[in-house]
Order: sequence, then C-alpha cells, then structure tokens
Amino acid sequence: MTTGVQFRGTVAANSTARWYTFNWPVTEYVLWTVVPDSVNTSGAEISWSVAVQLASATAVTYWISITNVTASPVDIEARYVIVS
Amino acid sequence: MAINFTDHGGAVIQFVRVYLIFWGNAWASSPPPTPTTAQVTDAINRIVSGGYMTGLAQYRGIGQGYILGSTTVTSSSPVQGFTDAQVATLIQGLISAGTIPNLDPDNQTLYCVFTPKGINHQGGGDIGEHTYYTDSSSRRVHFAWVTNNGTLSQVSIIASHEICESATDPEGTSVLGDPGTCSGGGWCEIGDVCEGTDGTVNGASVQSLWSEKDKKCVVFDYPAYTFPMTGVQFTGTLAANQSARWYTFNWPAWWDTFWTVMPTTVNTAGSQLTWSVQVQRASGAYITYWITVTNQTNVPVNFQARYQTLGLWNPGT
Repeated sequence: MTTGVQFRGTVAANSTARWYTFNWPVTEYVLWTVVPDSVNTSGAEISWSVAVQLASATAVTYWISITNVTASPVDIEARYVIVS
Repeated sequence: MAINFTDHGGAVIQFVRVYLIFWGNAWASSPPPTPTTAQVTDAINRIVSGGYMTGLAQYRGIGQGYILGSTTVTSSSPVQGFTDAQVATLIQGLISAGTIPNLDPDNQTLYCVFTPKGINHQGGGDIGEHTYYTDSSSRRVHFAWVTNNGTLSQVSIIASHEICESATDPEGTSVLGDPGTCSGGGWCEIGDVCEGTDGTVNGASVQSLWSEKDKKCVVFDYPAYTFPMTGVQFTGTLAANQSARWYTFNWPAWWDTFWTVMPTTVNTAGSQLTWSVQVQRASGAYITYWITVTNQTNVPVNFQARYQTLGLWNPGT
C-alpha cells in the first residue's frame, strides 16, 4: 500500500474545479480521496468525483472534479492510495 | 508547584504550513555546511507530517502540517546578536518582494528562519523562539527562528519545540501554563516545561511536549495501527425512494479513509442504493464525513455504511 498527496489547490466558493494527473500505470489499482485543508466548523465543505481516461495502452489519466459547497474558498488536497 | 496548562481561547494554528527560510551566505557555501539545508528540510518534513504533532489534537484539535516551501537568503546574513525585529524585517521584505508567499487566508502559515552555525540571538540566552509581528494589513505574521550549533539533531529538536508551540500558542493568548508552571519569563508554553527530554519520531529528533491529558512530558507519536482497518460505522433504513444524510465525526485527518454503502435487504430486481460523500475538516486533526444515501427502489431498504481506512496520510515534500 502506498499513500500520498498528488496535488493541493483552492476551490472558489460554491464552484467546481477540475484537475488532471497523468501517466499512472494501468497495472496499478489507485483510489482517490479529497480532504479540505481549510478548517470549517459549520458543516460539509467539499465533494468530489473521479473520471478516468486510458491515455495509452499503459498510462491512465485521472480527472478529479472537486466541488466546494460553502460560501468561502476552500483549500484542498487530493490524496491517492495505490492498493496494489 | 504542579504543572497545569489552560487554553485561554486565543489564536491557534490548526494546520500549520511551514515556510523555511535559511538566512545567510553560509547556507549556500561550498562545501555545504553541516547540517545542510536539505537535511534540515527533511527533518522538518518528518516533524510536521509524521506522528509527532498528532498529540496536539488534545489542544483544540490541532493537527499536523506540511512544508509550504523554502528559500535560502544570500543577500544578507544575520549579525551576531540578531534581534526579533531583524528577523521580522527579513520576512516582511521577502514577502513584499514576492520571494516567499504572503499569508494564506486562514493564517496558518509559519515562517521559520534558520541561522548559520554559531550565530546567536541578542543576549545569547535563547536558542530558538517564536513570536509574531503585525503587517500593514493588520494581520499577525507568525514566525520562529532557530539557531544552529552545527548538528542536525539540535536544529531539529529546537524546531520541533518552536513549531508546536507556534501551533498551540502563536500569539501568547492560547495554551499557556498557569501561574507558577514555568520559572522563566515570557510565554509559558508546552515545550518550555519539557526541555531536555527528547526522542526520535519518524526519523527526526524531537523534543517532548507537555500533554495536559497525561499530565507529563510526552514524545508524541502515532499509536500502533494495522492497515487496512475496515468496519461498519452505522446502519440505517431508507423508506422507498428516500434520500437521507448521516454524519460521522472525529476521524483522524492522518488516515486515508474511504466509504461504501451496502444494502442488507435483498432485492433481485435491480440496483437499490447510491451514495455520495462530503468532507469537512472540522479541525486540524479531525475530519467529519457527511454521507448521503439514496434508495432507488419503491420499497424500504436496510443498509450498512462501511469504512475502509487504508493507510496514513503522506504529504511528501
């Protein structure tokens, strides 16, 4: 199991932003999760979804859309886990 | 006199972003100094992103952090007997020049200045310190400075002390010892009462810190985990075509946790449930998950919300 943070960024209030990350080996089983880096004591801050592209026979591109459901900018980090 | 610490409710840094500033030509000399900037950077990364800072969760949910960046300043060097004001002037000059980033909107940035070997603070009594200055926008800029006796372990230990005290009490208004707790002057903080008892965490030399929960000095670290950790966090029932939301809180931010939902009501006709997850960082140390589950069928469905915690947070460098 390998874990890491692939990128950090900021999502504007009440908006969705999309990032991509490429050249992931097609043989690896990769899971994604996104965590806010901005503390908010009042409620949920973000949701996310992942789209996948087989960019070549060996390389995968992940497209990660992150939605900020609050009225303030939210800093985020996209975390991966390579399960095997 | 008993040692007691009280949170007075002022500013804390929940999720510290440390910007490293190596001040002086000596850091860029050839051959490089001991320790090198790379060695110090690696040690600080190990301190802020390993288990060491997880013990601060007892203080208003303060969590770990990460290194925002680093720079080596060769256009000036600290003088023997440097002052806090000179450090503040250095930092503000670098910010104004765009050399280093300005404060983040949540003011979680800590500028940490490292001096060359043998350069001492005014008076020579202090080997590290943290404080703040107020910029032209009336924002409080939190910073620390760390002196250097030429050993990585000492630089790392001083930095661990200053970073954690900056997190718990960046302005002298938060986690402070009750009267009589410290014998010295200045802010009485969780590192001050534990000087001289050190350890190694995540490969870095660190100083122990006062744990008010344990009533003693502790070298904080992760408890033992065996990943993956899986389980059912809660169960529920949705009426036909109903959607509902649950929340579950105090999940350590240093875990990488995933969620699935599984029906426990059999249905041979087709799909039954969908779910979505929203995330809240309720404090530096803890995450709240908000899980919305939707019943796609026209009959009630029982379900389990299952978690899979696969590993520890690893922010890299």
